[in-house]
Amino acid sequence: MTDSAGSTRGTVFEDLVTRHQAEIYAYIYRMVRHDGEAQDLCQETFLRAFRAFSGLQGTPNYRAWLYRIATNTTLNALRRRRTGERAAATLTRAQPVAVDGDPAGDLDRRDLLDRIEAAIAALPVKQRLALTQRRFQGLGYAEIAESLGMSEDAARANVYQAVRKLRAQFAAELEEVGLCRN
Amino acid sequence: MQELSCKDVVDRIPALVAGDLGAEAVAAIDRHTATCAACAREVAQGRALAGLLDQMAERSAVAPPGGSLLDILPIVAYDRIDSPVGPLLVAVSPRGLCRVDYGGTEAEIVAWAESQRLVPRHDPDAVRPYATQLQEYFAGARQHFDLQVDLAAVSPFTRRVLEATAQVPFGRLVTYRDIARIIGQPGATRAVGNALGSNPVPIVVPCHRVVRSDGTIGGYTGGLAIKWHLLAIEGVTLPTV
Repeated sequence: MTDSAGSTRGTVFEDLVTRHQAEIYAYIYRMVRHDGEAQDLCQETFLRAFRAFSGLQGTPNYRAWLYRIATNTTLNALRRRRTGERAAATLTRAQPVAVDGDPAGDLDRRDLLDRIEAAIAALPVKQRLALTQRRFQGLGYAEIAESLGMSEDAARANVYQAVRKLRAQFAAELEEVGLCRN
Repeated sequence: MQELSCKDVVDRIPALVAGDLGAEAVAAIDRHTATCAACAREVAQGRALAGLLDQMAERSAVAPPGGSLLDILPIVAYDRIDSPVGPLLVAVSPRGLCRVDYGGTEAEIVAWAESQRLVPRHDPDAVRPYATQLQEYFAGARQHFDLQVDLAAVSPFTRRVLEATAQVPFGRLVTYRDIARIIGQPGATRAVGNALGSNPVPIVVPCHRVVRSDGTIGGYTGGLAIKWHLLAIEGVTLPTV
């Protein structure tokens, strides 16, 4: 092959798919809570990414770029599909936590996790996404900033604001859990 | 070693929950809370939230769907092969052979794939079964192709023309008018010629077997020399033009 530009580009994209498909799927799943829908949106994300790929200038942070596409794709879908109803309907299908010991305590803990999950889903969208990316997806603030189109300071502020709200909302429960831990 | 005030500690709790603090910063918080019950309570709440978020991450950790998205993405595999009529760029989609380009370049096939929203991959292994049949044809060892053809990228009219043309046997000739008649549009001779001119899989869909009604050879995408060559492989001779 004499002209390897296209081949290289194709290979880079395939590497991106291989490296990031699992975490992008998990990210989308956390937003939609539905396996089939998450798979569809994950596929749509990578198709969109591929279409945009040839027009990319330089070598951006591909991970943040994929998160941005996944975020936009999923939020669009959620808007189309009337987020509230689906989130409420699917929250109850959250997987049980496997915890040894006290079954009654497990139920309480599960209930608390469900309620925190619902509270996260009800956060303003930027706070919700920033918290999800930071706390569940392990992104750094530079990546969160790029994927959500904001500054690093704003990304950090959104995460912290989300944490403050959750603490305020679940103060009593957290105190109890904190006491159990100590 | 700088000691933290109560305000410092409380201000750092969101960062603690977010997992942003290093060991040193965490140790400074712990030194403070060892002697400050009020802050100890606040920090314990924060750590409880952090622990719950960890559990939440764990329980919503989902296995990605089996297999690779690469199997789902519409990948088009391509390779350039040598032939007696020059290099051929052969492209194969999950549905089958979709391009045979005379002298096509990799850049062209990549641009085409992207225009079709396909993901191009240089993959000689995927192309090999198709390439082998083409090479057997050129060697005179194959009269009929036994492979899937993907005509998704062509218009419905062109597809009908190509499907009719695919039925023309090795070594036989038909005219543009014959094809127009077969597809039920006897007046569309010129459109049939245009459709054959855009045949994405020449040789396999044998548009070289279609000639003019007056017995002359007509046109050919890859050039008339190639059309002659293919007809010669099939033992076809035309009256002198």
